[in-house]
Amino acid sequence: METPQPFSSPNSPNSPDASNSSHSVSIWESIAIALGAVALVTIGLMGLGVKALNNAYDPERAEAIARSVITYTIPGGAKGLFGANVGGAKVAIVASNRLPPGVTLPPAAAVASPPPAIELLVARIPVSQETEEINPEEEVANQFFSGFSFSYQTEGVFQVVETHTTYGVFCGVLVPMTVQQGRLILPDQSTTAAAKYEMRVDRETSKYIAILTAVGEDAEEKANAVLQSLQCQD
Amino acid sequence: MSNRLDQMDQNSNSLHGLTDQEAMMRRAAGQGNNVILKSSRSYWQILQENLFTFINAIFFAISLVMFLLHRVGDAILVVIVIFGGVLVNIYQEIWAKQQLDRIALLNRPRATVIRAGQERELDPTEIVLGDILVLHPGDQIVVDGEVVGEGRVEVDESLLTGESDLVPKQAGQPVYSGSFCVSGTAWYQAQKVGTETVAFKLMAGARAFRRILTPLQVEINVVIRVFMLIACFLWILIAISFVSRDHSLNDLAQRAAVIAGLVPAGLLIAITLSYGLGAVRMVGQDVLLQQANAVESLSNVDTLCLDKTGTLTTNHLVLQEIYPIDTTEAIVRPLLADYAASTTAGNRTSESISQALPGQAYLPLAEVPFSSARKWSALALDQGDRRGVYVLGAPEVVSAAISLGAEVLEYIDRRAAQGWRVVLFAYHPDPTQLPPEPELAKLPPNLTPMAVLCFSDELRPEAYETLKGFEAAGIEVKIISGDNPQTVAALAKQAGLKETRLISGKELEKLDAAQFTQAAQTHTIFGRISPEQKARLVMALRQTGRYVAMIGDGVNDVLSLKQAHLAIAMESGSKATRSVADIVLLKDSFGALPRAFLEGQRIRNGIQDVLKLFLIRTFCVTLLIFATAVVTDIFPLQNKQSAIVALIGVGFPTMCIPIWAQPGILPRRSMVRSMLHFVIPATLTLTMVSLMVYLFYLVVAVLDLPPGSSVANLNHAIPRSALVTILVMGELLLIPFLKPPSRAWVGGEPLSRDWRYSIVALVLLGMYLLIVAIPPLRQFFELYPLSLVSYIFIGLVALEWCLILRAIWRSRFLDRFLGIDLS
Repeated sequence: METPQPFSSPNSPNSPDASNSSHSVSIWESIAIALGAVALVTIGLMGLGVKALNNAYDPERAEAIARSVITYTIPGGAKGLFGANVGGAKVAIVASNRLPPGVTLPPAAAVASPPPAIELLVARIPVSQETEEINPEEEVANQFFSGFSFSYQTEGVFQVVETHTTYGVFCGVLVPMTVQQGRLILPDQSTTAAAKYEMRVDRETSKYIAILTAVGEDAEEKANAVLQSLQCQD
Repeated sequence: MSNRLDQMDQNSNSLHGLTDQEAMMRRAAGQGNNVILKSSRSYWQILQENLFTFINAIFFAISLVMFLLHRVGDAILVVIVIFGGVLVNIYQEIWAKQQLDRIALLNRPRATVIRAGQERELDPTEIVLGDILVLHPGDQIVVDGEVVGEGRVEVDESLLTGESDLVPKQAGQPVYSGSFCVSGTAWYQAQKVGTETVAFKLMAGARAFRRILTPLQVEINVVIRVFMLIACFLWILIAISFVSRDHSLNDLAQRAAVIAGLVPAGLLIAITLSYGLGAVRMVGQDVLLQQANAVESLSNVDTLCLDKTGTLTTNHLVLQEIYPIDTTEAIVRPLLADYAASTTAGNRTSESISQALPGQAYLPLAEVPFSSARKWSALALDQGDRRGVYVLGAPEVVSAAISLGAEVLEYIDRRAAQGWRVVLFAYHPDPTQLPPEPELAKLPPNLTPMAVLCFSDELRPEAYETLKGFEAAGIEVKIISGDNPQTVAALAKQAGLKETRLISGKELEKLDAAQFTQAAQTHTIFGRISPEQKARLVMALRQTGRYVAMIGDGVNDVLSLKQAHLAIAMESGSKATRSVADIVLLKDSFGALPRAFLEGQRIRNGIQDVLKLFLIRTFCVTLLIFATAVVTDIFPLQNKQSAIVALIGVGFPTMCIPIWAQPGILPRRSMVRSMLHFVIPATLTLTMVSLMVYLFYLVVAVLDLPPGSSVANLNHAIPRSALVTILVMGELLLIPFLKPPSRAWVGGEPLSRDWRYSIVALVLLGMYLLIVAIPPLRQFFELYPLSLVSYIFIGLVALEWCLILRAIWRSRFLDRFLGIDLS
């Protein structure tokens, strides 16, 4: 019978081939690994960002989020512009399908599109988050967008003629409503009547916010119709 | 030899024994010894140890709760995964038991029985009540009985009483099964057989009294118990959360099941499988395993004690030279021949004299059989011209009653240094100087030296290679023998032993306990050692932290074999020695030890690799449970998801690892400590990466929330499926790191060049992807179908993790950070 070589084996850690001490990590390898990690994190974060943006700008999703906060009726129908649902806070913007009367789409080379006739921003924010994030002294609309509305954010185009506070029923509660009326400079430099309405109310653990902008000579009339239709959702 | 048998015949004339017909009738009457002493675990023990465990009871309770909650799938999964593993284990153990029982049956001791006036070698099961049995030195007493006739024996009853002193037995005194005849020859009548015997009542033979766990078994037990404690702690937390939070009973059962899965019960399956495979591989290698863990135990040995005679040498003594003292060889030869023929309790020395010098047998007036403790034997004869006491023994012992000349002493030293066994033959003219009771025997004073006898013993051909191999493996070899130290040293040198630091039994006697231990450590050759000293030496070596194996063949080795961590016996050795041994070297194949040693290393390596995977999975899931509780307040896995991680990531790979494991020298220190280099970086990084992937897909799930839904409606299947995917991929990628097939995978472990492990990992990855792709399977395991891009992304993350992990291993980042050497 063949006697085996005692106590050794080709795969024994003692064999020179088996040693792992000869393997070191070069600076280039370290850099490559670090770059790989950074690339993966970047890809991941970008993926999340793209997904978040896609979700936010999905009209159906935006409209559904808006309806889950406040139900509304916009004359001529509406489509979602933006919707976000982050950490219990929901923000959605919907706009009417129509342009204000007398307003035409500018040529393709124009800087901005004209605002829709009606744009409604609704938000429901848990009170704890809201108190941390929203300064009650500040104009509510400024927390969400600059300029006149979400879809027309060029600054200085809304020339406020009158600002007053009136009272209206919002979510079944009589609340103060800030009303700004004035003239809006359109992309083609023409002007038209415009109005912005802001109101908010605390209900149980959430704060409901609604910002309505209306453009056109019948802005006030259309705004009132929409305001009448607002119903907060639990 | 024939003369001795004639002598025995004379003695046993009155001991005619039973006739075959009487024996048959007694067996038919239920008086047979129809009981086989267990050589391995019983079927009931196997079932009991596999089924009725604490962790199985937990799993059973959980599956019962699941069933009551109408979660039949979960209940079935628990039964299949856990009890399926148990069943496989039971099957393997029963198979291994049957194999070992079959081999043991072929090698178990036979009994010499007198039937119809004739001596017959019978299987112990053929003994019936009233049978007359013959006892020779080294024979195991197989049934309870009473000594009959004129014989005398000294019996080792230490396995029954724990008392190491030999007990003299003569007519009318009882002998008990489970004890051994050490010296003398006698007959005893079977008075209790079968289930009535002492040995049966003590559950098993001598082997059952030895159950030493190997360091590996001890550490695995510790690991399992630690995880059991962690699981208990988590179960308590879960129970508290059930009261303090609004969790459903289903949640509670799910979480309890995941936590139960943390206890690496599969480790026991892996260790049993390894031992079973080891035992089967040793079949045909001339190695008989009598303890399941014996081969693995061998791989831990750092000190190997062996008897010279019968181990290093073949124990075929040949009378080489007679050196007459103050007389002639012609006068000494017939005296020696008659002495050897007349002795009734023969040993190798007297047998070799008989072979060289046939003589006439006389009935002795008194006889002192040879024992390793006395180191001499004597006969008192008073027949014809053979009158007086004849003594044969070790020169150092016998010379206490003699004054030897310088020339004789020089001759003795010279021959001993040559490696020959040297024995002194002496005479006293008064036969009454030897008392009839051997236990009272003393050397007669004023003995007349007659001759120095020199015997040669043949070195085993494989001894040189084997000892060299042991030396190369860092195993210190110590030769402990009853022979002259010079003789032992000479043979040891011939066998290639480099270090020969000698000490004799007499010198050891003078040492106190501390000095004795020191001497045991520093010396390599121990000569003129009594059986008690041999056992003390082994015990002293054990107490210094060494892992000691003892190889013996004679009955004088039994005590020391029992003290050793691992007892190895030669097949040709006494039945007593074979009975206490963990390993029996069949055909006295000393050269089979290296193969057994390699097999032991293979088992140990396999189990260590399995343990690494288990530790990483268990620590990783435990950390994830805590981490997700801190970060998200969500439990990371469901029962079925945890099961698939355990099955594919660890369960299936651990079925292959013990089979393909390779031998290799392992560091001589704590196994768990030696695994830290691999386990800690892998666990920490995999946990971190898995947590990141889990959180990433948690955000994805939040983003995917339907517009009208709140966080409470979050689809947890998305992050959980991603977590399962990264854990499965991570665990499978660990397999090539564990057994690197190429240099690219070397980092945590040395290069193995074995691609089989990596192929298994690939196959298992394919199996996981198949489960994900087949809707019924996916739904059963509650997995969410992620997009293809997501699987690619997770795969890339897993690969990046591999690179990071390899860099951490290779740069020894953790070692440097902790300031300790983890490898």
